Amino acid sequence: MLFDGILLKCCSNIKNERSLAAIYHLLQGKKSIQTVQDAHSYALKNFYGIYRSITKQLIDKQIRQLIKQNLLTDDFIPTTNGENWLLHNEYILLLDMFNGIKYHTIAPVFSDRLLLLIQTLTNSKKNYFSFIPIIDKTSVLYWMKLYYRKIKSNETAYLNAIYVELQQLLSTFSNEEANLFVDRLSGYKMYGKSSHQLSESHNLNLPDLHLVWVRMVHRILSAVYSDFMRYPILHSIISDIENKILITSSAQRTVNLLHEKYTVEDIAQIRKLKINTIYDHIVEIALFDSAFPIAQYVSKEQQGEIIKAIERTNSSSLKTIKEIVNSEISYFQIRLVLANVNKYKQLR
Amino acid sequence: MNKEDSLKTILYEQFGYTMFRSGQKEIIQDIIQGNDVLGVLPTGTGKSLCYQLPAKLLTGTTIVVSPLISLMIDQVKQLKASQFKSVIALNSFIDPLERKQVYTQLDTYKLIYVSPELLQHQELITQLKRIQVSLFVIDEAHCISQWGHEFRPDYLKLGDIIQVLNNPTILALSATATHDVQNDIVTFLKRPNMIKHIYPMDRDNITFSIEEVSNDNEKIDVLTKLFNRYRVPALIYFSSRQSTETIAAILKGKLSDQRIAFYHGGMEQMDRITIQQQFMNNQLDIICCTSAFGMGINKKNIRLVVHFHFPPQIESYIQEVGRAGRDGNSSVALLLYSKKDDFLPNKLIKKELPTAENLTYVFQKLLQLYKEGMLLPKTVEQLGEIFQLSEIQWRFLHYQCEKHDIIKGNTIYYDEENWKKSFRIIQDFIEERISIKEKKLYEMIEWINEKGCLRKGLFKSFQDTVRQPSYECCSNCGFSFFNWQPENVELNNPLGTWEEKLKTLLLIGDGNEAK
Ligand SMILES: [Zn+2]
Repeated sequence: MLFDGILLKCCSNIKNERSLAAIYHLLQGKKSIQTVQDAHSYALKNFYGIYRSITKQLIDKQIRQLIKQNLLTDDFIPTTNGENWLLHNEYILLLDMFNGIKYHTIAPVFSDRLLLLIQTLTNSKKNYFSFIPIIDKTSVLYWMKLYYRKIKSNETAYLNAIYVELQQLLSTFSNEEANLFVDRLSGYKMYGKSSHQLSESHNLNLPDLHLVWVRMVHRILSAVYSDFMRYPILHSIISDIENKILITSSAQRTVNLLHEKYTVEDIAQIRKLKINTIYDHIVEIALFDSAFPIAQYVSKEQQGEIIKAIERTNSSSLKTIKEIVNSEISYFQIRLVLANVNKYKQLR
Repeated sequence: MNKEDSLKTILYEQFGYTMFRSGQKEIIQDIIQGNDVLGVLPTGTGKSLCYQLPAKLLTGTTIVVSPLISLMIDQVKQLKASQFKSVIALNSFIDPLERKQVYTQLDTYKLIYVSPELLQHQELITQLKRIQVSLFVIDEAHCISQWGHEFRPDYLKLGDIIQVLNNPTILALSATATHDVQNDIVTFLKRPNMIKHIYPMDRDNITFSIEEVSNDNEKIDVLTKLFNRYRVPALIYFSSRQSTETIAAILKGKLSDQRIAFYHGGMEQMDRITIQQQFMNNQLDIICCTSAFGMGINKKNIRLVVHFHFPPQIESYIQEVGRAGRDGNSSVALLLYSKKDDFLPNKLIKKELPTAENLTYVFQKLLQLYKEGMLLPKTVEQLGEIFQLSEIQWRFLHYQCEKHDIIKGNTIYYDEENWKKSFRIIQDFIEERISIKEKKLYEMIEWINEKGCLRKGLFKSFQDTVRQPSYECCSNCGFSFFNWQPENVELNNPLGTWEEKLKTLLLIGDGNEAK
């Protein structure tokens, strides 16, 4: 049901201006400017990268279901039924508790580390060291090794603190969710439930289970980041990583050069890249930084003209917009303006 | 300190055992003295210690060839968990970049597990040649023998590889090798002085029971009744992944207070480990599984091993029931049989080997590729698709084509005469393999229909006598579940609110802490 809600919400905002592949890329968190731009202009940023293991087949299958249930038309636009369904359920499904654009990279790391930390501390408190780690990613194991060195022989204190923090956090969730969270944890001589087992015992299908978990992790992260004095341990397991959002390292280098007041042409030359690549970087930066001064690249008048064109065509298709604006306005400039305004908000 | 004491010290310090199990010490001593060994030890008697301990002791590296990739990975995980760190499993699932890096530092490992496929890669061989290999272990050595139930053509190349690696000491291990297979292994490895350590396979604490029913529904009824009486750790074996899932779901519906899970090789690795560990921790009672379950897991108190479908040969049956009762207490192996089951394994056999049509198609396709001047694609998936074969069928044919100089690397070599001749030879060979497998299947079915003592019948091709059973013998000697009273296990599922569960899990207020 949560998965249905997310797909309907995507379809409702996109209104068939993009193919289903765009939804796929969005949920999977594809690192392309197009995808980020879509997330931005269709007000779907909170769903960015919330389902990394999703397959195109799964989306197709679920969409067919929605069409069959008369919630979606063959053109992937919600029917009146579908819109009513959304209206009725949007609140229950807590769709706004997702914050994909902000947490899509940190969320899986946080949950892997937390699961492994709890397993390690409980076993170590019992002096039992030959347990099989539930997370087998080298990077997480390595982090655990370093972290453990700092805290060993303090297991009891740490476990008590983790209990207090988790207890506070989980109290803000429904009973159902809190139970699900606890059932997944592994400890001493106690292995947490697998996805399949959780889906059975909590009566959720696998996609919904995954999404409920991600939604919980996002909520926890937002609490931990905004009040880290209250959640010192949970904060400490991610304090070593910068919550890098999306900017690719290449775009980051471009940002640095822009700060040093180099022009686009200079940067292209220095970095031995095409000018268009640098333009891509600038669009990417603008997408993430709403304070980015785009006036440097598009004059106020040009911005106005582009915005008018967006409204008139009711579209964010670059081609459509380009056809009706002054021919001197470039694709790059249109993209910058699109990055800066949120089409969805404009139209509502 | 004499040698025996020092072995015992290592046994305790490195592996946490205070005593060797039957056969282990003898095999290890021979290996350390540089003798080649053939070890036939029944399942669950700690075969792997026979090379893990020498790997620690010997200078240089020990290589273990094993066809069971998931078992390999599990073992490496367990070893690492028990502080044996310089160990690695090489298989085709490792990311190529990581593999390259590992290859350059092979000498830092004391123990290297490798799949037979990967051992065919020149790149790996070149790297292995640079390090000192002191012990070469062939696990599941019966795969060498064409008379074995699991003949693997990949294994036939091991002879050459051992030579290239400067003829290290060889340890060939198997849990199921008849006299014929044992002789095959020794002949093939060309080590006539190989010392044989053969141990009896019969287990005196297992009671054998066969129940004939007319269909699957009746099997489910039998199981429902049985598990309404007992809560004991149990395995139920099935012949397909799908049926483990379906029957597990049905049983869950009928046995609401039993904790049931399914397990098969198609599951994610972490999910497999979770199920194994939950079973070990008594968080689960019944596992519906394929033959993929059980290897590498060492749960002592499995009381009941049920076969919902029987395996296609006696060797597998002995291995699978051998997982019961490792603590020596009374355990039962129950086989549920319906006449309809006779056809199931036959289908499996056909699925493993290419048919005559497959063979014709492959030859046509190869000729076409040759004429177009094409090379063979590299991945097994692509190859399977081109030739419309399963992976296992393709491996079989690939080996045959290489053997007959039709394929070398990625190149196809065409010679009309040779192709005609080879086609016939391969075809005959397939037929022979099928007939060997059918014979094995027939033996299995014959045993199921045995009127005399099941215990004697089961082990007759492996050993001349069986020991006196310590509990009831078999259903043909008068066993009935009516009198079987194993100790039921306690439920240890934490109950209560999520807060209480969280408290228990995080050991809050746990008085018995070690620190
Ligand atoms: Zn008997």
